[in-house]
Amino acid sequence: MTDGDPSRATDDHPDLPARIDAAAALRRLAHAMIAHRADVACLHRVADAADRLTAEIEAAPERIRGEELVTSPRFAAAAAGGGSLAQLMEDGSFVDLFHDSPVSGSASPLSIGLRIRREGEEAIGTVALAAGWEGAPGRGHGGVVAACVDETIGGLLPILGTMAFTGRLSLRYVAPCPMHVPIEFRARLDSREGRKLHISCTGTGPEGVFVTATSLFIAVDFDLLGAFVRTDSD
Amino acid sequence: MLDPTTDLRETPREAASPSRVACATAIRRLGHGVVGHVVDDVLLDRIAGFVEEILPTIEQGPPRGRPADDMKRRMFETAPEDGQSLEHYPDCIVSGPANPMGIALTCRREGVEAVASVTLGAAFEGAPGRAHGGVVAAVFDDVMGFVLSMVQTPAYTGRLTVSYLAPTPLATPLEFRAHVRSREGRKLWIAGEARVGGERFAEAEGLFISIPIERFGGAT
Repeated sequence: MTDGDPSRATDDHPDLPARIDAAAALRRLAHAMIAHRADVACLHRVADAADRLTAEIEAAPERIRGEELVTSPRFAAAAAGGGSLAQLMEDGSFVDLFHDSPVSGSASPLSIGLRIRREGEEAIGTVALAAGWEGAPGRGHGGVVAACVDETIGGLLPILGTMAFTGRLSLRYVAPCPMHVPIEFRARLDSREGRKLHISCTGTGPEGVFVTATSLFIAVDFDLLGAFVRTDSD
Repeated sequence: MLDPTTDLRETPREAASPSRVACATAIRRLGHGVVGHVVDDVLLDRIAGFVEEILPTIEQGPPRGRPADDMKRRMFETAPEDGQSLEHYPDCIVSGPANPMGIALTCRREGVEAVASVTLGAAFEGAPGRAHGGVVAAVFDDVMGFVLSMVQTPAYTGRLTVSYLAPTPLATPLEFRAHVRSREGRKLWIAGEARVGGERFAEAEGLFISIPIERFGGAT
């Protein structure tokens, strides 16, 4: 895997590589557990080990991600550049806004594993859905598809040089979402009026398009985002 | 309590054992812990090390099937009674207690509504301090699926629109509700809303297309 690619480790805490490794290991464990039967002794062994590790982890201080974000060198560089992350991101490079994202975060043990890259003025999210993301038998869960769409649209925001929150997300499921094969989500800006960003996204698998989506995102001023984050974490 | 010395081969996925649910719960909690706490490298390495150690044992286990027939039976053969808790299947990413990466909401029938309760942990954060919009959409999709069981109608999601009215808080009990708003031929419109402490923070509308039960879970 390319988890160690340089675009992912420019700005972050020194523990990020270890977080990414631990998260990847836990995701593998989770999918393996879903895919295989296990005897009770094995299940107890895993549960006991997880409980012991959790007890140690929960004794450690809580992270405040808002503070980590606003104090990160990447955020500072973007703020110094007038609030645009676009200049930090070349064509083809990976968009990794939040390493801890439940959809694309390489450092999240619960992440779907979507990877987003810039292609011109579009964001492209790619993933092959593993066992844990099934909905109706044999197809990807509609909610997982929705999350991938939302995340790919989120990945377009830094390319546009704008931070924003989801206002409305509307999905049309036109075919089953396939599992275990590469699928691709492609997001692009349709129009912009003031703070309102109209962004569309299409999901495609080997058999063609399975979801189309439109969305309304509300832009947030970069300075306000910083203020919001600081206030929230106080 | 199950006897841990019993070499009990689990039944397939439709009936997760209490041990499996306990194991999945422990892994989910560990995952949220990793995201939510300042964890030193040594401990992170121990987590990865433990997984490396146990993984070959797990991968040697026989594959777990997922018979679609069983899901049909559970979801559509008998209507849940009022107050009854609802389950799609134990591995469901949104509502399954046996998915080690799942959102693990619980849902029950209340009259004509499916009512889900969930508290989103640290790993479901999107923008700092608020839950990920995609997670909120996933919860709506799943809760609307419970309404389909309540009306005994197998269907696929045709369209889903989620409106985000306010930030979704983390680590706070949330309630999602959904009910059939109207029905016309094979089309069912399901309305949903989400509240925290009485305040609405999101609403949703879904269009579901019913299909004959023999086609549910089939190749098409």
